[in-house]
Amino acid sequence: MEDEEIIALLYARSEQALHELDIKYGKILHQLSYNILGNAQDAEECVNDTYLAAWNAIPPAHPDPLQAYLFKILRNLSLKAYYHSRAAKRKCAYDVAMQEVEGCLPSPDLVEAQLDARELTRTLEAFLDTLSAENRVIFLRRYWFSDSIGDIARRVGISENLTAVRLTRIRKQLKQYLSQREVYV
Amino acid sequence: MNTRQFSQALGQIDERYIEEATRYRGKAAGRGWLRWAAVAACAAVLLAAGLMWGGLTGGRADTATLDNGTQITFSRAQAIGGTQIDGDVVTQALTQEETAALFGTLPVTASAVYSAAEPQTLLGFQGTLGEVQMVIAVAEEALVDTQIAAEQTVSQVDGIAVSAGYFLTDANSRGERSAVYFAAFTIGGSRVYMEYSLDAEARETAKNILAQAVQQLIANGEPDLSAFG
Repeated sequence: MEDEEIIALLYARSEQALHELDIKYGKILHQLSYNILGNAQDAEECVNDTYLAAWNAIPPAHPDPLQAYLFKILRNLSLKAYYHSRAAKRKCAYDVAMQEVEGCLPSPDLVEAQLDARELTRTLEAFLDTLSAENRVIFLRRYWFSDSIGDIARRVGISENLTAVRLTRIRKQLKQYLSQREVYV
Repeated sequence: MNTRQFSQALGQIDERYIEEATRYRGKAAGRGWLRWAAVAACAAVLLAAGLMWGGLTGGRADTATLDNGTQITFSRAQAIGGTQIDGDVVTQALTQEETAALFGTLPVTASAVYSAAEPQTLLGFQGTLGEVQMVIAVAEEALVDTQIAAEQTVSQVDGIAVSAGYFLTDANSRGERSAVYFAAFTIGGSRVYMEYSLDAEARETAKNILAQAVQQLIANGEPDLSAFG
């Protein structure tokens, strides 16, 4: 079913909309949440909460693209769950990805300028704009979606080794970019 | 900034980035056979004598010996530029005819790179020779940042001076490292940068595959740009 048809069902307050959302996006939403939480049951809960959030927001919202809208809601919910219950966690894909990127983030001890969250987001967007489309996708699939190196390599059509090399370079570019803009939070 | 702040800020980026990352699909990764073909061809290149490899923790230079006895010396580098094109450009995949005109029978898949601003001028080419990444700049401006932080040793391959090096990536969370081998040279008016990487354990293979590709491209001669005006 097309996104516009699903949104029309939501506007009509038809519960068929939730069923259609699950058919179209359930699997990838579950994978994204699982990458962060490492637990299928918790991921399932977040996916259901995402559907509920969409039900509550649409209407009046009319998101386009719908997929990215759902992803953002799900990721936020999954991260909230992740940080809420850290003790119960075993290492998941999100942990691995964050450990990789930690080394290129500016030290929290060096406070030169304070940035609020929105400014930081805009700075990261500006950094993303400096990358080629392929590198931007590689970076986001790793640090937004927490995809494995193998999954990223298959998506982009390059070897796993080259994917790892590209990520190393992009992290170095990020570190330099943030440092040059004196981004310290 | 901690990872939580980074992750939360990254989570709020505009949906167009997320959409792009969702929909993007590169070339199909069905070229496994090419890798094995290249490895088999490499067996003819490898000669045990004369290697100066000093191991992962020691030694600064590494040497590949080509089938005609020529040696390419790779100096250990701290960083490399990579094959990502800098600047505002547009690319157009080469047709089979164009590829044959430029690269003869070499297994090349490439795109022509043009400046985005009018009048669009040909800046060079980007693609692969086998599995080796390559960028060829034909205009005055450089296409990639190829600053090589290393003591460069220049090797002569069929009369062409080749600067070559390698570096090892940081270990990832699984403790794995990659070995990246690269080479830069000029043929006529074209400046070439080539790069290939494999697991650190397979660095010998990476080195020799790259060396062979360098030799092949040099033997092909300067690309004939007459088809591009």
